[in-house]
Amino acid sequence: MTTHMSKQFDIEMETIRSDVLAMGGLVEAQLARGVLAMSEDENPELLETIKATEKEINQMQIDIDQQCAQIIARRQPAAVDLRVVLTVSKVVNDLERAGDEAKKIARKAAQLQGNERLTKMQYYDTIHAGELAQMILHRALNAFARLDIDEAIAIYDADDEIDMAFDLVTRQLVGFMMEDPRTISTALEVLFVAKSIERIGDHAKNIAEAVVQVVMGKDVRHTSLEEIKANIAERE
Amino acid sequence: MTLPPPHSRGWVLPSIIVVLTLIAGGLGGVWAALIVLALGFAGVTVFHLVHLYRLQRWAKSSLDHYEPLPEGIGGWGDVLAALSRREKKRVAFQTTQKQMIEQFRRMAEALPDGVIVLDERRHIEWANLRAQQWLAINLEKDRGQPLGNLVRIPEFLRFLADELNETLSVDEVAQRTLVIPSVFDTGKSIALQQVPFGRGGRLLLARDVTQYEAAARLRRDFIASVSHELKTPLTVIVGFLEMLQEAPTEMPEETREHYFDLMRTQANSMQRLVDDLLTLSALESGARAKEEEWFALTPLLQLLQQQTQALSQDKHIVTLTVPEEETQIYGVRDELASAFNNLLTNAVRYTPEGGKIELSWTINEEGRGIFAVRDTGIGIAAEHLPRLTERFYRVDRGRSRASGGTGLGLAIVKHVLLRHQGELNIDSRIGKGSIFSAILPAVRVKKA
Repeated sequence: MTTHMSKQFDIEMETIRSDVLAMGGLVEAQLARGVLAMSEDENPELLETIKATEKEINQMQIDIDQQCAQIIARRQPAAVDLRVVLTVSKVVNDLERAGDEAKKIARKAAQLQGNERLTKMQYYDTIHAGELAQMILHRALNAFARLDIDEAIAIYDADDEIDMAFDLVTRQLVGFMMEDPRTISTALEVLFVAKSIERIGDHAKNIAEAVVQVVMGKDVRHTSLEEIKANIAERE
Repeated sequence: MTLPPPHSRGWVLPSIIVVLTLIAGGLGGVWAALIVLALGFAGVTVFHLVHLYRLQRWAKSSLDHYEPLPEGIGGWGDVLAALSRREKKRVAFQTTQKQMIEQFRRMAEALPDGVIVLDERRHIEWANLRAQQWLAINLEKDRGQPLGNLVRIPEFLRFLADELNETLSVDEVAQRTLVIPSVFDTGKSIALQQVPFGRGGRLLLARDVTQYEAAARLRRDFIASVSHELKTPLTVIVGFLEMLQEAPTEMPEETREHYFDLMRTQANSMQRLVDDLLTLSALESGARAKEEEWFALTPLLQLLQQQTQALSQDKHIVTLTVPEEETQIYGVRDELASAFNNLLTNAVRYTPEGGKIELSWTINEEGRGIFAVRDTGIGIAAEHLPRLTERFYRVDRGRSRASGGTGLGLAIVKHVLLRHQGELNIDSRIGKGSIFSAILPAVRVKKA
């Protein structure tokens, strides 16, 4: 980051980024709990923790948004700083939603526990997709911390992988449902979980887009990967 | 301020010019003097410029190693020689310092622990390789980055937010230890401690505590399992006791007897569990109740065969195959008997009526003794095999308890064999049956 005349401004900009990442940490923890709820035995404490974390995440969203508004009003940031402040709002939004999805995963997974219709083996692939989502969210946040454009772009490919995993799970579940209609209600629950995982992947991708936007000063939403890569090549 | 040395040669040139000018003035008049003076000044200027140019070129050279200074004439020679000495000293000092820093760095790398230096705002200043690996940071990219931006685990952020007191005692530091999973290498647990370091900064120490954590978890799980295993029969007993107490008279004799039977069954299973636990703890503590000795194996095996036949109530066919030659075994007879017995009890328990249980003793070409129990039972799926000797690990909870198992049998077998430097081999297929082989080392086996 460039240094400013005002040291205080530097600190404010850094705080805002650190806060976003701390919020990201909460969402990551939330998602980890969701994945854990799928693969481990019942744990009533987990749901309590998840509820508390959800509140914390929401509060952080409000706080960070307020900080952004204050910086814009008081400092009138320009160039990179303005882009950071603007994208922070977006990233925070994505994080909050990803947190919501993580909470849903944990809730549904807890309901799935002890279900006789589908065994753990049968939604093993869903768990795997959940782990993929964990990894991609982690990498997206790392890219945001380091403003690492290469890493951000690698996330596009990783998100495709989650989408593929989602398709696989869907097809598998359809198979179970056709084989034995008694599994339908359970399979639908698993499908909801898988959908939530897929959405988290999308939110992670949005965060990666925000990173590209900060670094290149270019809005890359709704742009194909090839165009972005061409843009980067141009810059270099 | 240092004065120029009194014998500085810087005065030589101007003096020569003055002398030459005076001579020229005396010989050729004012004009000649002026020309000589001008030429003299021009000469001096060129002389200085050449030296200045050389010095300038030298000043631009690298700081890292000693670059010889240009040589000079007259006053320049003095100055350049002095500078040269200083430069030599500086480079020597720098080299030792560099070596010292390198030494420290290597020391920090050699530590089995991770070390991270943070500044007063928790930015990464330095980290050794191990810490970089465990926390998935890359010093090249991340120097100056707040550590909390990369290791975002909420507990860790709270840990970092802690204000550190300069006078933190060792105990206080230890008390504030935080254990987190390693960021990249899942399954690894890292314990972190922090101490004040430098100006308001801190030093983060990371240790791999994976094994310690695993042991601690095992202990917790074990206590939880034991409590659970004891609670189940106890609940049944307490329930019947309450029923007997509340309705002592109206109850028909038959029902009461039945209740007592059920209570006795539960009490028996509790007793078995406690016995097994005591056996296991005795085995683990390493204390031997009896000395090791040579003893004849065949009588023991025959006894076991009879016991097994009795246990199965003639519902299974129990056979025993031993080599003609009598074998002597060196070990604790009671321990081995109990281990073999556990294998046989399992075979009876998990083999349906009419099945076959074959006991055999063979000595292989390496001289090792193999006691094998082959049954035609229900078999065990491959995924369960590696965990089978864990305490309270059960393939099917309901069935195991219904048949009176404590969940400790195979753990005992494994321990007994370990104490005799032996091993337990399990080969099993679902629906086909299992072979449990207890293998004893050659030194403990001899043909009599």
